[in-house]
Amino acid sequence: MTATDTHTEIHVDDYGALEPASGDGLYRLVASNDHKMVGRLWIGTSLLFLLATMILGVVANIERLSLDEIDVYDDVTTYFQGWILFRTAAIFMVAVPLFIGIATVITPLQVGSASIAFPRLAAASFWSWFVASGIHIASFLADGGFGPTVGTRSEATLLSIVSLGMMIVAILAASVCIATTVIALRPAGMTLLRVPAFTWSMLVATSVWLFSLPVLVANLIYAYVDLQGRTPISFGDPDRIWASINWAWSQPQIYAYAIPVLGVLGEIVPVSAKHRQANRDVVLTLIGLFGALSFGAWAQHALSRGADAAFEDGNYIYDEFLYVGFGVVIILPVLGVLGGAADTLRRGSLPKLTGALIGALAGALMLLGAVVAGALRVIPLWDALHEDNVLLSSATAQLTMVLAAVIASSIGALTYWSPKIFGGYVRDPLSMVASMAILGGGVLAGVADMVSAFLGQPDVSITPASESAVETMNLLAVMGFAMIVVGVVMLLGALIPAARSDEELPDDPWDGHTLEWAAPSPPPTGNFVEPIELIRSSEPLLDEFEEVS
Amino acid sequence: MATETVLVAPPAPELTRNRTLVVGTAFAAVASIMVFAGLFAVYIAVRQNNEFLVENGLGGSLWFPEGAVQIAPGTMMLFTTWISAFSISWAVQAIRNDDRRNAYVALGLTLLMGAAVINQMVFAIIDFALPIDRSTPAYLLYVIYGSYIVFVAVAMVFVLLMAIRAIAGQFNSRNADGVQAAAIFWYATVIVYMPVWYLITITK
Repeated sequence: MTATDTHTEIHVDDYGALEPASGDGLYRLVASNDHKMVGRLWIGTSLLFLLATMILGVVANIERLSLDEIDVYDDVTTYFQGWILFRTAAIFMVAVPLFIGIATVITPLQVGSASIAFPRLAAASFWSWFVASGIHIASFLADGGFGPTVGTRSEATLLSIVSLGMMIVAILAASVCIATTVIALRPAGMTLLRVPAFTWSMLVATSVWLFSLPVLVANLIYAYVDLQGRTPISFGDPDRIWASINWAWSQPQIYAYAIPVLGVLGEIVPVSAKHRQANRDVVLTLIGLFGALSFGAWAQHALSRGADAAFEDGNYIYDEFLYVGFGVVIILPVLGVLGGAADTLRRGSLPKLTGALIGALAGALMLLGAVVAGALRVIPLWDALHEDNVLLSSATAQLTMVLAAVIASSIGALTYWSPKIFGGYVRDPLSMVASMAILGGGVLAGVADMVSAFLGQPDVSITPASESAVETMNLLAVMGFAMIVVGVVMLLGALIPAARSDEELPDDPWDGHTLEWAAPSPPPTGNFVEPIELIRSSEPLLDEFEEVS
Repeated sequence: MATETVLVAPPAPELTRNRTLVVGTAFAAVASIMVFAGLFAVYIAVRQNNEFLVENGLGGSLWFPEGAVQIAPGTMMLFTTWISAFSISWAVQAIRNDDRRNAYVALGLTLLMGAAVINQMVFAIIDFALPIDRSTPAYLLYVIYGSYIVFVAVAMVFVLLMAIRAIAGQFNSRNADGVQAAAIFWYATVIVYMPVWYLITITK
């Protein structure tokens, strides 16, 4: 009965999932609540949005090449709309949905479950998000958006607000399904500290999203009501809407969308090195610490004491000790997880360089770059260089690096789990080159944006500081974004043959350590042919292999 | 005479259930509470900003006009939510004891209290007589009250759904998950109202 029912129409077990009994391809696509099908829908759709988003990013950066006039867009308003759409799409149509898709397929398998919790809610969340994404794009095309400028149509802006809220609610619903799967559907013996690293990172990520994104919904409610049918007096003012919600695209919240990057690394490295992760509990704790530090709902402009008079009062959130401290401390867990991966590689056998390994490492390195950029934002050096109290606007650079981290990590994850997700192999040369293109592009664009920020270029503006070098940096950023687009195209080129493959695959082609490799490739309805036995460690399949050998 | 041996079967093993509905509802309740945490945080920040402006002679104004917010309706709502917390706990306890008649009464009473809260909220909104489009405090107040009405309405739908399933015989002492889940969500509405009462009714 409705979304709260854990049963579905074809009974596999108490929580089983299920394909519709009949119907053609399209009907099965829409009506299925099998978590693998729903996950593939999330992945496929977010990859298409990724390509469109990166093209939007390239166009926005091309506009920045010439700072004297508007070349590509009609006017400054249109430019801002494109820039804001790039940001909302990058996070809520690409980064978060991509990981939700991978987790929707993989998390139930990793915890040995026949299905995801609330399979109908999982399917409903995808379709709600999909519809909301379409409305969101349409609202910008209808002259909507969030500013920071005037000239947008308030009706379309209302639509932008509502559609963003719908996307977030859908993402939260999917998060509930994933988090509940991890908490409630584990087999006997699998304690929380024995769950695989990726599943753990998704539990941390979905928890942080469930705590932080509702606050963004609250901001949107304030903006919506204020703008509804009258002249806004507060948060609905076009100049204030983006200011009141942009914390979700700034540090520390921006890191919350990349938490699974650390889980992907913790998953792929031990299997590649054919060695257990040493001090695994510490690594999981560090991922949890990274998640806790990335909770960013408190770091919003509206909560600065005297938001209107904050600059005069000097009590702006970016100057506060907590903000500065978090910005620096959050480097430590990333370094710790990377150190753990390096230690595993050192202890294990020399791994073969695969697309999965390179993608996972590239993603984690890009994330390290993003947190270092965030720390640069808050160091006193900035104040020493600029006594005019202008804030260092590194949000663009950080968004670029986090996005590149998510894409590279997703390439690693999709390559690694392709037998389970697509039922075919993602061929290595293409996925390796794609990962490297995204790493290179991310570094180039991120560093260029960071230098531009140091030279005084604001985040959402084409107005530069006095430095002409900004134009050169923007050219480098365009080249970086173009490299990412090439990487994404290569990724799609690698995924399509894997998705269409009908070759026979072994259950465990990589000698994996965790339960998903005990399921057939691709997993059938119900996932596992044999019941899961008592779990005695965090690497049950490796235990089995060692006992046999 | 042969001794008759009576074979007694061992007790059935305790049914293990994964309690997905309870866990999922707990996550949903936390997310709902965080929506209100966001609303409250902005309300408090704006109010602090107003006080800062007033204290420093930079502008600002009286937060709510004298007498606009009455203490009685808000406090009545607080007690109503507390009664509903009691009644939903009663429903859980009754269903756990297979006392279906008490469970139905308690679920019905919870729904009645929910309707009473919404009724009182609407009365309070009319009673405020504050124009929403002229002052930031009034606009913030209406957003919080309006959001709370929606929250209670959603919780009522959840309780109603579980009540229907209970009447259809779905829950019992071995499986009370649905009613427990509804109770968790209902408790969230009770928790959320306490800061509403303090921020608006008491501190005005």
